[in-house]
Amino acid sequence: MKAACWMNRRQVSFEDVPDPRILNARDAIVKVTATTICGSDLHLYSGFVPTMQRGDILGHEFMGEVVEVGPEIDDLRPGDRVVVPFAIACGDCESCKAELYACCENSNPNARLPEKLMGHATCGAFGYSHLSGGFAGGQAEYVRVPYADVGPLVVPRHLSDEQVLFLSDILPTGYMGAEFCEPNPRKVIAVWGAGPVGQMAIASLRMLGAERIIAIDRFPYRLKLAQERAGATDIINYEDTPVLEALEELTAGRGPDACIDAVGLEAHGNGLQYAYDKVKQSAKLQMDRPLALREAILACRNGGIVSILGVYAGYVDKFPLGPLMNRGLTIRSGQCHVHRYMRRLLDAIEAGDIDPSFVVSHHMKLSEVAQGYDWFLHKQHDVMKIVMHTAA
Amino acid sequence: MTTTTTKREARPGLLGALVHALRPRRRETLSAAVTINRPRPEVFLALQHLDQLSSFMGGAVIVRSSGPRRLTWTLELPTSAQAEWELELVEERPSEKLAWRATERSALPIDVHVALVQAPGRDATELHARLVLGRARLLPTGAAKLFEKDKLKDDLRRLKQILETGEVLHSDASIHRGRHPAMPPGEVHHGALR
Repeated sequence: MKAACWMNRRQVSFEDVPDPRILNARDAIVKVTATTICGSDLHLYSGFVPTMQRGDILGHEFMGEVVEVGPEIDDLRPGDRVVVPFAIACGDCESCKAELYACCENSNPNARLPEKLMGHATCGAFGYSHLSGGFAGGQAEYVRVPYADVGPLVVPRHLSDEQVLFLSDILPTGYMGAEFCEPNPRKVIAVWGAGPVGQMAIASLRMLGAERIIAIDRFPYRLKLAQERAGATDIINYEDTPVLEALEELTAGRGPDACIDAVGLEAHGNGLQYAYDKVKQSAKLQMDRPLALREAILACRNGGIVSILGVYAGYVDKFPLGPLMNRGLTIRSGQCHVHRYMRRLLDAIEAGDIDPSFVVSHHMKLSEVAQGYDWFLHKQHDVMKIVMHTAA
Repeated sequence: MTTTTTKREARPGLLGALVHALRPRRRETLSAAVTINRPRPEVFLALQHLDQLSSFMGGAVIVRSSGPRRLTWTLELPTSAQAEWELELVEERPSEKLAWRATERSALPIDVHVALVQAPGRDATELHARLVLGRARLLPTGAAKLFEKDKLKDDLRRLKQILETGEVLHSDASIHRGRHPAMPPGEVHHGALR
């Protein structure tokens, strides 16, 4: 088969690789029909996530058709159309039983690596480095799906790929971040980053009843989409406007009741702090540039909630712990427990309460994946979300 | 009982064997713990039949019953040799404790203690394992890795996986070190993890 392989920093290529095969009794093999590049794939692409190996198959947002199942799989059949959550979860451990699927205790065969880096092991994930288990990803014609009795969600055929593909990651991720904020009509909620996850967070906030939502980004086309399609009521372009001042004005000095960081470790910014982070990251003295997170903490009203959806890899410097503690902020974060949200969000899509397909800006063939990464990284052609198709 | 048998003429690395032979050895204790989301009687029952669970050792070790209350552990060494230990069950308290001790002929005196404790507030089991290694006369090259803390923790993780999910989960990369089927042929890394 053919697959998108990470070959080196900022080098992805479409390669011939062996077909996946069933390795465990609860596996399924899925023929991928549609897949996409996630903002967090860019962290791999740019070489910020350790333990990538030349040739690793990328991709954790994908859907397709089941072609083979392991002997322990009863509830999936060849021919089923499924969306697969990016996090791999066993469904049996204590974390899974508590619906903390992204904290699964059994799905990472390389648990020793993240345990040393992060204190405890993280779950396995598709196409996301050997820290996450070394599982081949879904930017491929076929993919092996472990614990296929727990992860894949069968989706009806009357919904388009674009409507359901994002159940694999960005829609549940945005929804979880919105839910963290405990939205209601009285709250003002600010969202840093109007990329795909930020758009999903804004749309979810709207669906959950928030009436005042502020989107922060630097690309006018993203801010426009946030306002016109996702449901942001206000926008701030940080290239033109100092964010903290603007938020103070928009909230009459209180600060937003909740702040969502939908940016993560490759935050862009202006001024000395950005230069400081950039130099330290380039020199490998720190793995993350937490610019948006710092700002979100400083902006948040006393006693408010900071919801972290952006991916961070390691340890950060100049973290505003004093403001966080002294002003009584609550931080909520985590890789998304996708399995917990998929069914209810599929129901919401079917009911017409939300349609995540508004973020799709481009369609490509999977064979054009290298171009897709390049466009997405450099925000060329007003790229928002690229859906890649395997069929001719 | 510990025996080292050589299938072919391959020898343990000479330098490694020398280092192992000359290194003064003290009694050494390794311990690790894991929480298993299964009731204690179930975990206890599984531990009584370790010979049916040898995949928790990561495939390098085969555990088989060698008599009443006795288990033989066979380790394939990288040198094409094998090392064997025989452990005898010396203590057994239902749902609470199991202890094995290497039989008197063993070149590697080792005690294995496993204590089972109910996890706070739920029907899960805390498994606390402790390995006490005595003075070894000669630990074959390749066998030393068996007695490292990281290895013990990995073993407990796999045991937890088997008891909770039914089997040990693999990725291509976890089975095949270095080149593996999920990588393009001829385009593979040639070193350790980056």
